[in-house]
Amino acid sequence: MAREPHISVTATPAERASLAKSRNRYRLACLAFALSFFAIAVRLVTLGFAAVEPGSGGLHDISTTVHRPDILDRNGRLLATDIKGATLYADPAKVIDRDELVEQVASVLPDINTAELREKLKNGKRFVPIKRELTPKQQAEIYELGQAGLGFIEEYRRVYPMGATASHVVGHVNVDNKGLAGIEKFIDDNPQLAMSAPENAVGGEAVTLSLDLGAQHVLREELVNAMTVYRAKAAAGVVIDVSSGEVVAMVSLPDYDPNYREQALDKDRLNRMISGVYELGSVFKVFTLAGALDGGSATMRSSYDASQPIRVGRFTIEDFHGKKRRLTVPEIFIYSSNIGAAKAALDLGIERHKAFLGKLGMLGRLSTEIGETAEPLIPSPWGRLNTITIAYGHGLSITPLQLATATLPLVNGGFAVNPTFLPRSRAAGLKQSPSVLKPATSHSMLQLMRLNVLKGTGKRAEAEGYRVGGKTGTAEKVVGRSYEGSALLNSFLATFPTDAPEYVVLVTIDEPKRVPESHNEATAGVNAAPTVGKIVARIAPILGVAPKLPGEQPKFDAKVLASY
Amino acid sequence: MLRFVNICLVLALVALAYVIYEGKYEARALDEDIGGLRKEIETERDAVAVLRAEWSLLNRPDRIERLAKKHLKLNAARPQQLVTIETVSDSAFERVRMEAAEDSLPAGSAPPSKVKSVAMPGVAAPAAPENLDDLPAATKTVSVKTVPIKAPPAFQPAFPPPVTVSPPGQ
Repeated sequence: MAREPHISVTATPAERASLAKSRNRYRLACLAFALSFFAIAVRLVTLGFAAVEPGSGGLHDISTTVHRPDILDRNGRLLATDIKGATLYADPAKVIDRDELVEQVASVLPDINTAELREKLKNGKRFVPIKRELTPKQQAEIYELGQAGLGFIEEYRRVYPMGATASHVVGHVNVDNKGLAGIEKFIDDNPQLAMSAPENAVGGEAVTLSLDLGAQHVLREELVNAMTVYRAKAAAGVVIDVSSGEVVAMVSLPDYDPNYREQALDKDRLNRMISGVYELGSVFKVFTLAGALDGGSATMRSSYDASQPIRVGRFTIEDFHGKKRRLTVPEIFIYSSNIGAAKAALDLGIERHKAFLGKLGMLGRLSTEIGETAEPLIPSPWGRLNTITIAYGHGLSITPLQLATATLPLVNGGFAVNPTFLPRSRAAGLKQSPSVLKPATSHSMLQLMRLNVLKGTGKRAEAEGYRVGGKTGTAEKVVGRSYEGSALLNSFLATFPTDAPEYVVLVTIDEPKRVPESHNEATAGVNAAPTVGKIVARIAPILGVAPKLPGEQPKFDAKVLASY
Repeated sequence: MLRFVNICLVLALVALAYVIYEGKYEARALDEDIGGLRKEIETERDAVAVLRAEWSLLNRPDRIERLAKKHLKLNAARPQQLVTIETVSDSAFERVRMEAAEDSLPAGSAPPSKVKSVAMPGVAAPAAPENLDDLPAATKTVSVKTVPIKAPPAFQPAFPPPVTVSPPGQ
């Protein structure tokens, strides 16, 4: 009790008593009012702070598709973006005169099927889509018709300005803008990717890839040329940075234009680089000899007797370019001797050979951002005959991307770098990768690969100034139940520059024919190898690999300079 | 006294109510402005997206290559043509300059006093020295006797100009 209320001295005792009684009621009323005013004040303040709802758009503007981040190549060139387009629809319940509406719409959009539209309007669903992806002009004209019952939906539409050039890496989306394949699918599975990435020019989200559009274009164009010239069924190629593992270009032909997503369903257009497993033939000798050198069962001076074919059961293993004599390790490589490679693998030992291939990741699936590679076909049990045939590339089917990946430690000093489609520095690539080979083995392999281009089966892969090294592979395809001599799968596995390797290039050409351009031959040395040579000559300047010419200091040519 | 205070308070309340009313309406108008501007930004952004897509479409490497083959008389650069600035010594420049000067002179005439520098397109031309003799020895200016450069044919696009996309929604 704080103080006595002021009471008039003239009040009677009865009045005094009643006043004292009402004092408590009076306080209660005050409290009730205070509480209710406080509640109102609190409510007002919260309303004042509440965000104002943004003004809603036009009556019929509803966005149904999700907005996707842009996809850029390593130099910021646009590979995929979203643009807005309007879809015209009709609501039959609101249509006043059906025939008039159909006629008027047809006057703006002459390509619609009027009979079908009438039928749909009659059947009275609530939502009848008429046309997707209107141009702004068409949209304005439809507005001007002033017909009740028509409406627009604003939708994001994915466009791929580069068309088929990078289709298998970038992938594509479905009609609702959800990623179905390639990096598009990866973005959907990893939404944090776009959030952490720097913004694009207009403040939207963007994902940057390791691809180089220039290199990608060259690779695709040269493979298209090779397919045409050698009349091949298919072709595929990849260029990987040996230290960072970045895939700077990857093409599989025939490919598709992601702007026309239905093309992707064609089985023939699968990504051969990661979805097809093949027996890749003699390029495997690279791994056989690397295993033998690394395991210490052979040195660069060792030699194996290749004068007699090897007979195992009912099989006879012969040489294609037979020399019928003892061959040293470099000779086995440059003459691509099956017998020599088989003997080197047997010398290494069946188990160690298998373990070596496993260490390079050829016996499992390889996981990349655009999906896992197909399961390799591994012989089980893995016996003596398997080791013999796998030594020269038959009997073990793997994806070409795995082959290119397995080559990285052979040329980068022994680091098993995992390929990636996202940018990564060379230092980070090497740091994250385990060392699986002796650096000396890597050094020897580079010598062998360079020798093969200078003197062996890969002569036509030389690109002047860029020191290409590589190995050919001419594999007979299994047709039905036996190997078919006329159906070949040719490949060339290369690295450049061999004195300080920066990139690995793998090209495979499926069933090239004997054509005059390849001297009426069909081996890899006359089709896959020159294709690689042309590719290297064009991509090396794009990728910043400096040419080195033998002999004198490059002459500064003023005439050339002046004529620019 | 109390009555005066009460009147003042009532007046203050009315004034405050008016201020709040004004402020509120102003805020609402600004909100509408913001909404309008947001919509405009959105429209512009969509237009920019369309233009960027079109720009990329027109800059496709295969298209540029096709146009270059058609309109430019250039071949692919050979490795001999690629040099880094480190490999180009001053003496190389000097030699080239002398050769060019000798080539273009009729026998017995005096060396030219004025040599114009040839700049590559796209590279800012260095301030052309009026007299070569004034040049310091270590200058890196590419200076040769003027070589007649064939003027490239006027660029005539053989294809219809691309359809200009007007910003949507306008």
